Amino acid sequence: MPLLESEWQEFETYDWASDPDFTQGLESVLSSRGNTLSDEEKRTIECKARLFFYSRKIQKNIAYDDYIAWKASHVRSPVNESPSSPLSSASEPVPSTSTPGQPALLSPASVSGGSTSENEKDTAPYPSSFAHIVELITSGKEIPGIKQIPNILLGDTASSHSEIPQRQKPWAK
Amino acid sequence: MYSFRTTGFNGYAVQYSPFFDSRLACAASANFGLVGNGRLYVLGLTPNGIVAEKSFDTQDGLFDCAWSEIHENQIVVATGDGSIKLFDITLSDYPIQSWREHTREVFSANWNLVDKTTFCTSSWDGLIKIWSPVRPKSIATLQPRNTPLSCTYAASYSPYNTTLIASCSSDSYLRLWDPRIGDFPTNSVYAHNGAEILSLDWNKYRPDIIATSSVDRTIKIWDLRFMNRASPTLQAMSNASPVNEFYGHNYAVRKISWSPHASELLLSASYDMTARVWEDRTAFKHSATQPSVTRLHQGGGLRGVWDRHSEFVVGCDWSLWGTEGWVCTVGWDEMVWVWDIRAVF
Repeated sequence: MPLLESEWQEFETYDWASDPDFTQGLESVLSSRGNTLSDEEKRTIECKARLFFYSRKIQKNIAYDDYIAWKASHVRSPVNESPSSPLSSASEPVPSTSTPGQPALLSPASVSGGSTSENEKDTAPYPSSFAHIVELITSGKEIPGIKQIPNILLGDTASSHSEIPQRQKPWAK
Repeated sequence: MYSFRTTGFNGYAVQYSPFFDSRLACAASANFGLVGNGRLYVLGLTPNGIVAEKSFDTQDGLFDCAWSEIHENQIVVATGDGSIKLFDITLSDYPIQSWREHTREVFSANWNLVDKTTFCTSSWDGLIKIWSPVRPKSIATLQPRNTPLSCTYAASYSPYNTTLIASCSSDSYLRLWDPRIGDFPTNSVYAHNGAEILSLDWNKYRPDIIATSSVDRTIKIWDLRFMNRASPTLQAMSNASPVNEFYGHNYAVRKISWSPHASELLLSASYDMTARVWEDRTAFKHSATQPSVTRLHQGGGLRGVWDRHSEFVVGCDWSLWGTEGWVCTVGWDEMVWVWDIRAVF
């Protein structure tokens, strides 16, 4: 069962650096993996370590997929909010590797929908590039390739005239 | 079977033209609709395959489109920045009109099939709005009473009743609205036990039948005659049961569409990367010719699975014209597939 919105917020704002249990645990995990890890792999490991640590802390099972899904669902900020809405900071480890999760354009509740057998996951595996875009957005990096479209309206007068008669729908015949 | 690649854009919706046999529109978004531009494709079905006759780029992603029922060249799109834009496909680059009233992503647009002069939109802001292409502002705004607003994923006009609208939301409610009566739901059903309802569609031959699809992976068929009527002041507590349910999709069912040619056939698009064709055997329930057979065959009748998409299948539609059974599906794999359901039966 994914966390409630308030629980995710608490997770996101938890002061990891000031928790020696976590920082020591993470250090030992990272050192056990040697020094061949890429930054990306380190971020993934830290993300999973936080989830593991936190799930024990609050005595609730937190799935990595659910976290990515929740994260993704917070990527599209409401248009009436300022662009600097505090979704995340650059320091947060959101892995950009291929990960399962839920599409962004669903609210977090979508992850919890439906009863399933224990071995089945609720979340659909999304494309690897999807997580990459989530990462770019949440880390405040520039998204490549966005065109600026002038806000031009051609107006009703520019519209063509309808010349074709309406067709009867198949069910109206 | 034909295909087209929406390179750089992930497909969200597709609709066949109500005027032309060989034209369809596809609404798509860059970066899966998370951020970046949208693109409306006008596609032509030719002997040489599918060709892009035209495309329009928008600042924000596109989540749905709806062809005008009275003007063969006009089409509205639902965008991620809350605006609704009307394009004339004989023009280039820019819309002829744009409306900005929704405060969040607009997720559905649907043209009135009976009156044909209006269309409705639904948004993450929880509202449903009714528009005329020739009016500068919306004609009406509909919203549930005494309940928190929740993402309204789809709103759709009845194919038989000029003003009747059905909507579905993340709060798991299927709601009916009739602006002639008021701006409150005339009926509401807690249809998917708390799971978000992503899509709905009116049956084209049985005016009281609606299908809903959900993140709970199911498709449910509802008969409006079995539902209680809600009062404007009371949150409906209707415990109506669906008349049928389809199980089979492995993930959320993002879009459903009843056949324009047969009362029992339903097409579905899912995050499990498949599109499926189902047979609702309750359609035969009152058939005098096979009264006893129906009970044996009642239930979800999966007729076929289309598995050529390699990512989420997000949009689907049936061709209104020509040989019955041609459909189109679009998905996050940047693919538009046009295929014949008989190929998967």
